[in-house]
Amino acid sequence: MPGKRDETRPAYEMRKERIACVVMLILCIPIFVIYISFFSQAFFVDGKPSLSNFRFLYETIVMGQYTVPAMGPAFRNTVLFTAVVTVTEVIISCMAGYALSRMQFTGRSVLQKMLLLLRLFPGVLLLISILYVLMYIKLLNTLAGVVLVAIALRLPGSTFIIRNFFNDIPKDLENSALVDGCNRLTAFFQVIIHLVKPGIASISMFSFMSAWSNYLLFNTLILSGRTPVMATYLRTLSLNDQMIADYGVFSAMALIYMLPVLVFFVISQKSLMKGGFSGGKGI
Amino acid sequence: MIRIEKLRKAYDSKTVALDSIDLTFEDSSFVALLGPSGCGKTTTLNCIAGLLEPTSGKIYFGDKDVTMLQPKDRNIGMVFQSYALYPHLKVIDNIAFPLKQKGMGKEERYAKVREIAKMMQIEALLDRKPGQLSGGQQQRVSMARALVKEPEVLLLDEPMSNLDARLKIEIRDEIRRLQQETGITSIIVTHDQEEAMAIADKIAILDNGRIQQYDTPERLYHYPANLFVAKFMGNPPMNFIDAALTADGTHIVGAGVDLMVPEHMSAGAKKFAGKAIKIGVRSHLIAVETEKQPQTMEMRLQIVENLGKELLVSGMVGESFVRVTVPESHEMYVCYRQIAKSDKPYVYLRMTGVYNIFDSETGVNIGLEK
Amino acid sequence: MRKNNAQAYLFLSPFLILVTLLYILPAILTVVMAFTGLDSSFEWEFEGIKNFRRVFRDPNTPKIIINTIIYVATCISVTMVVDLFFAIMTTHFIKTESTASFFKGVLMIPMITPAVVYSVLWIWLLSSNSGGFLNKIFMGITGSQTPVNWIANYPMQVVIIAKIMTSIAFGTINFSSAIKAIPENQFKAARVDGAKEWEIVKSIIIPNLRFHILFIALWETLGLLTDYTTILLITDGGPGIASEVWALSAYHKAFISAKYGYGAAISLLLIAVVLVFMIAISMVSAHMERREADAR
Repeated sequence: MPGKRDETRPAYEMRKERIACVVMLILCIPIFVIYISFFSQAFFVDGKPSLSNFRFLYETIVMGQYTVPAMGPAFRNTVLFTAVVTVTEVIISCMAGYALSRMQFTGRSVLQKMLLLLRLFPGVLLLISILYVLMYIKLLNTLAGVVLVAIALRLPGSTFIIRNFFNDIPKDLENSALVDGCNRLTAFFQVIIHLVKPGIASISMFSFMSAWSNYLLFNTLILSGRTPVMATYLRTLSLNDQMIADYGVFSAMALIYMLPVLVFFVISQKSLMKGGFSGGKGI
Repeated sequence: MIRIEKLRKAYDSKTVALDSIDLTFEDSSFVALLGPSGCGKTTTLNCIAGLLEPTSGKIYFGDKDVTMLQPKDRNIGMVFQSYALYPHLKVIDNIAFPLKQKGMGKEERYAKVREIAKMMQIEALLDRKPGQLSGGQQQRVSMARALVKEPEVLLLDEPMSNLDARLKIEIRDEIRRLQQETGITSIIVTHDQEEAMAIADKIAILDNGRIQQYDTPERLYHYPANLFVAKFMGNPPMNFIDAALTADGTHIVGAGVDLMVPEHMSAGAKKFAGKAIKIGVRSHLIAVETEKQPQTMEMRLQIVENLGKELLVSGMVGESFVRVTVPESHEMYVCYRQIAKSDKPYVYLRMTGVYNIFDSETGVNIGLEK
Repeated sequence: MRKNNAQAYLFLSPFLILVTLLYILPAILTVVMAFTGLDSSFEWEFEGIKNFRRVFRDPNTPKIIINTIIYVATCISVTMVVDLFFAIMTTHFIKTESTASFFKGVLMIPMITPAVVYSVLWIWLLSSNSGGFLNKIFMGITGSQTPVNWIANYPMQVVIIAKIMTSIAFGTINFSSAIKAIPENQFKAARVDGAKEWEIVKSIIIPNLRFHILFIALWETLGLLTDYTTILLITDGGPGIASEVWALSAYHKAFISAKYGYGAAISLLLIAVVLVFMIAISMVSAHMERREADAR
């Protein structure tokens, strides 16, 4: 704790740390104030503390002349979407990352270079033609279509990260497993995959957050009017004047929506902080 | 017995790691593959292990042709330079790993592990993880893992290069003792010639993908096959003195040098008659005379040092710098220093033991030619 | 290592199929589409460079370009300074791990907030009636009786600030690890030489970070040019085209007006600019890797 006398550090350093802490606190206050003010609205009705804003969890709400559609389907779809995208993305990128890192095959260097290219390129720019392709394979306007697009656009980034993790595994370790009686496959599952667990955790984390919050893909690839996931659901609600005349219910919904993200965020604080962090951007 | 026949490893037309080598490893022997970086020793080891596929040639374990077999089917144990312990497994599981791959049951596995842990004195470490072990401990665990499956051959890839000097010697002795106790055929790759000399029954010196000499440490030390081996082996390095053979091949002559070619070298000397040569002689196999004598080399004395256990006397024979070590004696120390300061600072070096002559052009040891 | 094409391509196939179908193919299609008049009828009529001429003749285009430049330039310059500031604060001055992590965590909150929620947060904050959060403060301070419609009056400023707040965490954390990697000796030598804090920042921290700064600047710029979700959700480019940026206009043309060919053409022009940045990033990245390899 800053403030306690630390024998390993000189006093002038501690003093500077204290000043820095104060400065940081002051600068962070706006964030605290804004977020707390907004979300605390969920717990108040007409100025009095109440939990009735959360009644959308078990009954249909009517605000003025507007009947608020149930949140259940949107939430379920969001969970489904996120789970499928995250798991599939991790599996596919691990397989590809391993191959690119550890196997010899024709076209290896070409693929490596392509990976770098794809990883940097912002897939967002291709949404227009992606729409056309989806339409052509009859997956436009479907959840499955969005799932495939979400995975495809994130694959280069995830594969890049996990490939680097595989690269970092010392050759000798794998050789040792081969000498000890493993073939490629058993070596992979008994030794190698354990060593890239931090990498897998990292990309799962980013994939989860991206999929859970995804708005643009649903906005563009699913025809308007339908609100399959929380992002589009909340967006539609937010455009309704009667809905947001009083933010109580909306902020309650938003809080429920943000809860998993916050939980994961707090849990994975340590691994996110390691600065590797190159998978943060994306759709 | 392990046999390598015409083993060749080429990565493309220009990069040849192994240029068709032949080697035989006797049962229960300890052979060192020695040489500078890039000489092909690790490539050879990896081919024997099956981690590398040779471009051509064959490898036999006994009568079995194992050239195309995967490492897991060769029944080998290997210790890596980095130890390569599985970081996510406890020590006991690390050592048991090869047994697990064989399908051995847990009870049986662990029993064998404890047995070998006792032999290697690492019982106390069984419940720890590799990350909690010191370098020397990791090394021992690595050895235990390699030996627990009672392999046909033990391969060691520079296992001691990551240890500090004192630990190196300790572990070196342990490995030697272990090898003799178990009688397992062992092949070690190293760039440290002292290590090789101490630990191995026979040493194969490689350079540029070719075997320079395959012999006992003793013969390598005293009768190196060529200049490369001569320069590589022994610490302190051998002295080299430029000279030449007379036209009739009976005498060695040079600046300050007039020696008769020894009997056992006469055949080779005739072959290389008239050529420029280098005399190779060990520092401690030279005696220093203060008076000119026949069959000596004249050295212009430059440095005299008292190292405690010996005197180091160095100077120039012709254009070649020579260092001689002689038994310590305060008398002689004073004497030599006086000579060095005088206006005729010459001493005369007499060979007291084995020395060699090498053809300056090809590096071949003339004395070994028949 | 033995070559094993069958096994390798087995591992690679899901990746290759998905990426080819939904990434590479669309990339090629975008180029083709830009030269057609594809619209909701989905008929491919080749129109040559008609779309590009339309872009240059459109009276809105200059305004959109200016908006984009202002948006990108302002965001990147402020973000870089702020990122460095926070990184130095939380790494150089605050050495206690837990405290530093706490502050970095707080800085990450805007970034992890789902875009939809984040935009509503801003809309609520800047609500144009007198009960609006900012208006209450503003009217309290200035004593004015009329509430301000912040978003309508200052759309660019709003989206810029909103965007900056989500961008802070990435650069800060990146710089933070870079600062941690600076050899302790450089600092010790400077302190012994009597250097003051600002001197240390100027002569040690910044020079050591120069490639990181370059990398992050390029990376962020790439994001700023291509990611328009924040703007879409807060102002939708409005009012009018007051906050319309280039990438957003492509979106509008394609997804709102269903002019796919036209939208593709606009995107293609942006892609050209993006490619330049991508090359720059690859070069910086490669250079940084080489430096790391040399240092080992």
